[in-house]
Amino acid sequence: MSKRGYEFSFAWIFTLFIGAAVIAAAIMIATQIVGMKQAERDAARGLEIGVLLTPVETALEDARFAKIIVPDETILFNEVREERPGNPFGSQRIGASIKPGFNAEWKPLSGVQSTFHNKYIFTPTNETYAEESFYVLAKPLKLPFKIADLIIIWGGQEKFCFTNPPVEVKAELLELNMTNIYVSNCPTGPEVRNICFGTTCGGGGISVAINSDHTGKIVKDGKTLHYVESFGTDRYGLMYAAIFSDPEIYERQVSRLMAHAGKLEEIYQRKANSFGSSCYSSNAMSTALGNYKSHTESIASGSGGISTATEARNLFAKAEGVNNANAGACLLF
Amino acid sequence: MQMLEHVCSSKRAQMKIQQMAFMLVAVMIFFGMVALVYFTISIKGLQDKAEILAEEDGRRMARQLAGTPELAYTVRDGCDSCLDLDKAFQLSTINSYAEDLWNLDYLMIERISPSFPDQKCTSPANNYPNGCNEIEIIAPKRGLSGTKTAFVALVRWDDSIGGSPGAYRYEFGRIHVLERELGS
Repeated sequence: MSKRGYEFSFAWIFTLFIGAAVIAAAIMIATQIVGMKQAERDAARGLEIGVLLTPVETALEDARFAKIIVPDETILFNEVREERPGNPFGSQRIGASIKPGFNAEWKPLSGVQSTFHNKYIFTPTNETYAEESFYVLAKPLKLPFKIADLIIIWGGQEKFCFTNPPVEVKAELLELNMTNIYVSNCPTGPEVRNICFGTTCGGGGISVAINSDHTGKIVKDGKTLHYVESFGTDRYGLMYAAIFSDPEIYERQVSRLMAHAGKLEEIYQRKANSFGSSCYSSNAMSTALGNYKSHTESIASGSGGISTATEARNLFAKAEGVNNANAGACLLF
Repeated sequence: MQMLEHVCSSKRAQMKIQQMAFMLVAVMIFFGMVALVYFTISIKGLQDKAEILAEEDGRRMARQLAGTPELAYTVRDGCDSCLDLDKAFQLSTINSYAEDLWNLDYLMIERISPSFPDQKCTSPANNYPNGCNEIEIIAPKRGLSGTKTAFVALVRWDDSIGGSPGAYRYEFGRIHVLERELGS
């Protein structure tokens, strides 16, 4: 009786085994390469956005509005690290993630992040999504000398409706003609956030109270954020930052800004000392700068940036003290 | 006889397996080499791209630095690219300030006109402002090839002009910037 069957020689089994191993290795390597390319694209996009933000920053002029067009759907990651010993200015880390093709999984952050110590970016969330463009509003912060530019970024999905803004704010918004910012004929929908001035906003809106003492507060997502007005003609930089930004990002950035202000004071203090006694009588400038430094450092070392209305008022008063001392022929700034 | 045939066939099979094994190793080495070439080209491309971006940023930064709060001359409006030489000098005397703030490996302000002795500015008692032409804010951390420069107007307080207490004097100079090396 003969039984018919297939005989596999060792050579065949060996070939199949090795062949399967080669194919598996090839698939694994291909997957790794695709992942690496994705990380490369993300890292390059993050760095590009960081580089593009440099010319957006203001010099001596007031606000600047710009649009960063992205060729693919992109998520911008914004991470803020507060100042600490060894990193006295804190860190601004930004990264990007581009939507991968072929319905592949969109990983949260595959590329490396770029780190800056002199940038202050305010975004509505830690992860800001844009289908085509990011919108950038740069505003100088002067307390009383320029500390930095506040860079406010939002994606194409968010829309902001300003209700009853003060004349000055309304005029600026109309002049800048920013995309997705409305002062009249506001659209409706879940993507629209109402910003109410002088009144409490319901339904997830943002309430803004501008005080006559150059300070104000914003109530957003159940948190109260305090701000001080900037010196010069463009007064509301920090107010805009608080309105557009995630509350935690705002508080961390304010803490960094205060640390930066304290460091800048060192330069001005030394410059004032180099002017000599013919410029400032009775050390008025030196005393004002010293008071200013101790207050900004106290805010920076606390938690939550400017945490009370009194702290905001005191900060403006100290800055005003420096500004008043900066008079006469020997102007420091 | 049959035994001899079986031994010959077994030896042939062993030869075949050896040939196949060598072939497979050769194929793997070939794929490995192709992958190596691909990665070399790909990584070089990535490095080039990163260097281009860093260079672009460096050039922009050289121009933009004059407008930063640490260096900008803000006493009078209308001088966007004016750099406050006194602030720059004071900044150079504060330990690690500039290194902590900017991602730079070198930052220096050169005074071109009027001409001053070819020396680094060290202290007011020693040679600043009238005996030096270089304010080194960040000492070089590596070779200076790749340094970007931009011309700027320099402004400094001079108590010898315009009577007491003095006035701001304008000079002409250049800012030298070297971007921090990637990965450092």
